[in-house]
Amino acid sequence: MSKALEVRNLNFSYDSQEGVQTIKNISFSVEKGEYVALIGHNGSGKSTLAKLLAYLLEPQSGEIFVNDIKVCEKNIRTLRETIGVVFQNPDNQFIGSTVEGDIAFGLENRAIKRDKMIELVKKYSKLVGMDKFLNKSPEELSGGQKQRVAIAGILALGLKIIIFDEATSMLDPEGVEDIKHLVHEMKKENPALTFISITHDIEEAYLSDRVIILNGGEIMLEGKPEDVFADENKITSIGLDIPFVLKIKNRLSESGMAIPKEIKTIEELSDFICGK
Amino acid sequence: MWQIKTNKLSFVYDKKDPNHYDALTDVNLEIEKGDFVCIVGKTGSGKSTIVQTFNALILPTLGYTQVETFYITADKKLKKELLKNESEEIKKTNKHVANLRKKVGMVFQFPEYQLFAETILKDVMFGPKNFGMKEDEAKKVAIESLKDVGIPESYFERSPFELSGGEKRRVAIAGIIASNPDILVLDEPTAGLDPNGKKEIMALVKKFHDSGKTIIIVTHDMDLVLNFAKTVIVLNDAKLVEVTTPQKLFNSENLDKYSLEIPTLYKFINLLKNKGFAGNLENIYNFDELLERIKEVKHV
Repeated sequence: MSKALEVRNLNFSYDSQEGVQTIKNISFSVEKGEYVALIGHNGSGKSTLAKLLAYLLEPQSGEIFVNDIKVCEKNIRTLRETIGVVFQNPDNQFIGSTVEGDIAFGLENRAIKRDKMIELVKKYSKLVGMDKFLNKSPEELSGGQKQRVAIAGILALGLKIIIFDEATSMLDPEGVEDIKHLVHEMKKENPALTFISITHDIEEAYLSDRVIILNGGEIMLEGKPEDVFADENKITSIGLDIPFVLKIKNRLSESGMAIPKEIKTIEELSDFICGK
Repeated sequence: MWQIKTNKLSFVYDKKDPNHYDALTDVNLEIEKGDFVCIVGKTGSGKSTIVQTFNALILPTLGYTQVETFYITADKKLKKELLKNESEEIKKTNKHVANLRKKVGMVFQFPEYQLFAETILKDVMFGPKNFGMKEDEAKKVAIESLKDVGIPESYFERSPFELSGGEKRRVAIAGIIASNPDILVLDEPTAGLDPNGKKEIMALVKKFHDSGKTIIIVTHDMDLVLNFAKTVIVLNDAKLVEVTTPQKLFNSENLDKYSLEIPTLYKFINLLKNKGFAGNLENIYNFDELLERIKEVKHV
């Protein structure tokens, strides 16, 4: 089966940063339908990697394949129809003069029929809770609201691969939960949807299919969350946190209390501790 | 003694729009000098709007905000009324918004996106120069501020765009504190930073608070609230609903109502309580205390 993403020996550095290699010879692949959490501290190369994957930056060397399509200039149209990124700062992403116009912008570029477009704008603005704001201009919206609009704009496109680069960092906790739930529902509806989340939310990473940790432009660890987070010292040494549940589990097992591997959420852990 | 006060403050975005909504409704609030305040509430609750009245970026549609002797309102009649019995000096102060902006330093969400100068030093010098400082004086305070935020001298002549997210944010904050404001307002200072970046920024804010400044932070980060705030102000649907302490807030039943995230520690404690944990779970304030309590009960 072909992969959603295949990255081979990828290298990149910014012109402005002489002598700094932002991405160092990275190779990895992502299966179709996988939920991958990409974590690492600020400056580890996460956002640069996201931009390279979506061809918003040109690699220095190495190759990227998105659904078997080589990432390069001549495939740009197909790529834009396959993979999309929602970034952290919604101000840099708001293009339309209203919420409605902004969500419709990407659809217009894909020459989608007007009726269908209106339907999609309605559907996705409602899903992100912005359907009451369709005529509002960006100045009238909060950072979190603009972020919801950016998310709706990408989700409405029906892409096969979606990258969230800290896309919920401006939302309140309820908003974050709403969007997590929405992604979950979309993945349930369409199991082939590949989702890559660049996040500082270690709890979210713990519940993903696979975790990739970037450090200094290189992949430092990669694998199932429980394996990746197993080496607590290594994780904390690069300034990342350990998931709450794992931290308690580790401390308790050090004291001789064995806790089953399957326990991953605070609900499960509280059941176990209270003997339910 | 209060330093910032709002009186029947309301703000409406674009009254002419038939779908207009109130961003703030009848808010009466006092913030003490030297306090460490966190303002919390869900998206659209009015958090960012209220702090923007503190340096007159947004003018209250009704009522007013007062920062010491500076009155802020869009209601010209009201402002005239308020100033009527004030001294000539205060009347004069109120004519120039720069007097207020110098007092209230505002660090916006993702301030690093506002860095623009060719070098880090020039960027930080911009604010003080804007407030009328001479070149060499501005340079002096900029160097001091950069040292305060922990940016090494070898960086000063570099482009701000070469920095990491946390470093950029520290440079942006240096640009604000270079003007030596009495009040520092930060909108989501830890958003998008990794744990180390968060620690750096908050250590810096705490240092500023320890030097006697008033700190006002708008945030969704409840760990920040738990660890730093002395006073928590809760806004919900454009209204002020609570002025409280972090400990009281996280132990209150109202958290769900305001859609606030409980810190994971408290969430877990509440689950244990509900499931009949055979031990005392009151007065636990950190991870280690909780762990000790579990070990006691489980005899490990």
